[in-house]
This record gives sequence, C-alpha cells and structure tokens, in this order.
Amino acid sequence: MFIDLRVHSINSKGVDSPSRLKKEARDLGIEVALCDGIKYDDFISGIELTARNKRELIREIISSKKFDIIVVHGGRAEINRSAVSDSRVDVLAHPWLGRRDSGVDAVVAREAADNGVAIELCISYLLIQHQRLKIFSSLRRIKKLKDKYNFEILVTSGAKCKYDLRNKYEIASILYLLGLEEEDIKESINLPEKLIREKGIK
Amino acid sequence: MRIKSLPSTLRERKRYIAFIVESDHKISGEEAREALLDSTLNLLGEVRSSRLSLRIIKATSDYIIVGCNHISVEKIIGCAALTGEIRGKKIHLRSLGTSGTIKAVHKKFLSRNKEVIEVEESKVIFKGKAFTVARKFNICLDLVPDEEFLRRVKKLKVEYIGITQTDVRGE
Repeated sequence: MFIDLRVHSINSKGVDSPSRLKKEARDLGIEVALCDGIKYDDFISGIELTARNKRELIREIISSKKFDIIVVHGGRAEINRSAVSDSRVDVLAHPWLGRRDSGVDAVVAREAADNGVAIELCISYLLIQHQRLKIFSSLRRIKKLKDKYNFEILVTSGAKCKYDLRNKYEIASILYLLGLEEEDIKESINLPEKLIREKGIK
Repeated sequence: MRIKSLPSTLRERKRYIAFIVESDHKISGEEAREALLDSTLNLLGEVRSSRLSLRIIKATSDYIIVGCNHISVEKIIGCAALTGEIRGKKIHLRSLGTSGTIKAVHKKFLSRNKEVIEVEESKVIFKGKAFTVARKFNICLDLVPDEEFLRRVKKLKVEYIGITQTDVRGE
C-alpha cells in the first residue's frame, strides 16, 4: 500500500479534518501520514520543521523526538545541507524551493545517502503550471545524482485538501511521464512503507 | 463519398478511460474537457499529444470518457492526475479505470450514481464554533468556512471545509 507521508489537515495548513482525509484516502486505496506538528493516536504523525539556520534546525530536531516522521522544509542551501547531515531527519522537502537551481549538489547527495535522508518530490507543486518546468529540470539533475550516490527519492502529495491526494496508479503514471524507469517507480512507491517499517511505527 | 477505413492490421488498438470529476465548485462538461486538454497540451506539447490519438468521447459535470490508443493510457492518466485547477476552481480528474469499449466503461465504472445530497440549512459545531452545512453525503459534511478559514480556502481554490460526522460527535 502507498503511504502519503506529507499531508496537511485543518490543524496546520489544510482545509479538511483528519478523519475526512482518512476517509478520502481509504477510498483512493492509500494511507496518509499527517504532517501537522501534532501527535495523533490513530495516524502516523509528522512535523515539518522550518528553520533559518543550522543551530535553529538542530534545536528544532531535538524538540521533535516524539514525532514519527521529521520533515525539513528545504530551500536554503545551509538548511538543505544541515538537514541531510543529520540522521534523525527522515525527509528533506522541496530542496529547490525559492532557488534557481535544484538545491541538491554532490555534497548534499552523498550526505543524504550516508544518513538515510530521503529527498522529496512533491506532487502539489507540479499542479501549478508555471512551476512545472523548474521542477522537471531540478528532478533531472537530482536523478543523475541519485544514480551516482544512491539516495532515496520519496514521492508525496503535499496535499492541503482532499483534491490534492493521488492514488498509487496516478503517482506511477506521473513518475512515468517524468521519465523514471519502471524499477525506480516501484522503488519510490514502496519507499514510504519501507521507511515506516524500518522505524518500527507499525 | 466516405473514404475507406484502414485495413484491420493497420488500425490502432483502442482504449477508453473513465475519469470522475471532483470539485467543490460546479464544473461544467466544457470546463472538465478544457482542463484535461490544457493539462495534456501543456505537459506533452502538440507533437507528443498528437501521438496519443486522444479524443474526448463524452464530458459531463460528473465524468469524462476519453478514447486513446493502447500505448498512451499511462500518459493520459498522468496528465489527468496533474490537472490542478480550471478557471480558478480546484479540480481533480480521478481515473476510474480502462476498458476496450465504451459500453464496458459505462457498465464497469459509471453505473453508480454520484451520491450528493444538497442540504438546505443546518448548523453543526466544529472546533467549538457553529458552521453552516453546505453539502452532505454518507458520513461526509462540507461546511461553509467562517472568517478564520476563508483566506485559506480561497488560497487553495476550494469552497468548503471537509469534515465527517465523527468530528461533530467528538465535540
């Protein structure tokens, strides 16, 4: 089963309640993890950390121990590099945000592979037409680095409402359109489940 | 005089895909068709789109049936999955499945009616505040946003806040 590891409910940036998202996800045949910064009993709970510098990020990571998934809001070069250097971080989200380049260089790629931090590909940014071109070119660069350094690419919907959720087949089709090979697609779809199993959450 | 059809060995193998139109807003068939075509053209360009043999068989406010050749099914589902909005309204074209004939598409995927029950006026308490219920189906409730959520709802280009009956009972 595909697990969407970054979904926002009404308790953070979204407009749907956790139970509504759970119902919609069940209809689509997927499972959702809520990235609200709130510890839920019946959901996989995550937190998205936003920091201005390395020191602040480390402080936030230490205070987020209780969450199942720790996602770092990427974009700034310093934050991207600090996030992948810490093995307590699970996902580096949108490293290209607000940048002209992809935000992932050889150092980031090597550190991500060594510390087991996955780099996120967020579908919700692809829904905005003027951003697609930039994300596609960033992804091509990230894919080249992935082939060399072998870090993980995690696909999430980044959904803030129920209409942003995508099922397994839709995500596979999107990745196919982006030019990923069949094996990479399978690996990306199974990665969230593997991550959850390794962490012993379920 | 009509031209003769291609010999059967040269004909393309056809597939039909059913998509359901999901949105908070009222979406016309024309808008749904435009959303799919826009997304395909923007993503693949005119040259690659022409290789799909894409034709829209039927587009209504609830569903779309699309015809294509058998090697393009994945591409069209991918393009539809990346349809985010049309004319400032949030929309999602969810693929239901693929079939070899239009009749089978209707029988397999579109035989169930969309269960939307419009509610005239009723109030529920959610997060300690009273909200007006706009739509109700099964256990799902769509609420009209108050001032606190109005900006967020507008930014995401939806119209309602989605909750279930368990949220109301929990209060």
